Amino acid sequence: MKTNETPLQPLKWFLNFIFIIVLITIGLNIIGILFIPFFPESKIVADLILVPNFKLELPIIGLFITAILLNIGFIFSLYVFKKIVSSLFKSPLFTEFQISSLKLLGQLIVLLVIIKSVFNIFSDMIFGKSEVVGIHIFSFDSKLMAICMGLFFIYLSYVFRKAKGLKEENDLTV
Amino acid sequence: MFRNNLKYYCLSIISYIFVIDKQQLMKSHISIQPPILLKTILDILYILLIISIISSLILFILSVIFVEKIPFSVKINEYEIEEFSTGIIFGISLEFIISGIFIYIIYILRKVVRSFFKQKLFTTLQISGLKLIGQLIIIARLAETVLTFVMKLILENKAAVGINIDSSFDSLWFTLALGLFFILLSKSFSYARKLQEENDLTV
Repeated sequence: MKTNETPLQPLKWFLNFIFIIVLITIGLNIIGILFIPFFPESKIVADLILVPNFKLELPIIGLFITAILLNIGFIFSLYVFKKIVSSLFKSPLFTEFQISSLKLLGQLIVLLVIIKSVFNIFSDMIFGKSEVVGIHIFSFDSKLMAICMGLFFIYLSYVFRKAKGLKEENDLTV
Repeated sequence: MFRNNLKYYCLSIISYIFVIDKQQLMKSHISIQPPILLKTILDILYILLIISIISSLILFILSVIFVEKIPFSVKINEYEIEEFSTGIIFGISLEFIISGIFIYIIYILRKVVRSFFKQKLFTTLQISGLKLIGQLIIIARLAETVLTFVMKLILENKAAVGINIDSSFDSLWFTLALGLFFILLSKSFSYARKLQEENDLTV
């Protein structure tokens, strides 16, 4: 069976590097969130999750737990992403693993983006923030873009399934 | 101003995703349905982006021309601007160019997704489109990062160097990885195209 030989080997190292950096910083992020109750007036920590002041109340604790869960979900989806890329390098293309994990990744992205936007609405409500009207020039921070990416991944898993069928036919005829 | 609207769009989309996903699961394995939901969302995003970039371009030009008659300070991407020096105008126009690239990316993505509707997979359009999307994502994201750094230097006299990671899908590292993934995807698509051609030949 042919393996997929690409001149993109540095890409894989780059992705591993990114994964490690993100893991470290999100770990620090979670630790920072856990430390907020002990330093209620520290500004640096509060900037991490965009929460101006901390009080021991039920909705705020709920928000904190959701923030931690969102971080963990992000790490997990990044892990799935890394797995997919390394399997695209190593093993033959269009395996069942790639199909299922592409689908999982797409669903995770869509779900996490939706949870995050609900989270933002609630945190705006609780802390009484209102957005100032002004010019906002769009780029990659749009949530719809992320949802598109998620749906694209889900669709990609169907495309991969089709390609897998093709490949099996090919192997049979040879 | 569009951010609030986006939130409600996301909320209304949540119910659709799972319904359509189930429908697709029930179908047979080989024949795939056209991605109707994806196309709809891409269309919405495209139209919204075009409206927002045109309106903010008009607002920007108006506020540059009539800068002395405006009673309030203009806020552009988190920065409050009281006077327009040439540096600031230059930086903001560069930012407009970057969002133009972003709109172009969405445009290509729409084209690729629409080409899936024709039940023809692994065409050269899809392969080259995916590759172009990946390259553009990386270029635009890097340019945006450099520009943000320079703008901060100009506007706030602050040089900020550091690794900033948001726990969301718009963080710098994730988008870079996404761009690389698209390039890789175009490679695997071209591999699948080769397979398909062999298949057609033997039959």
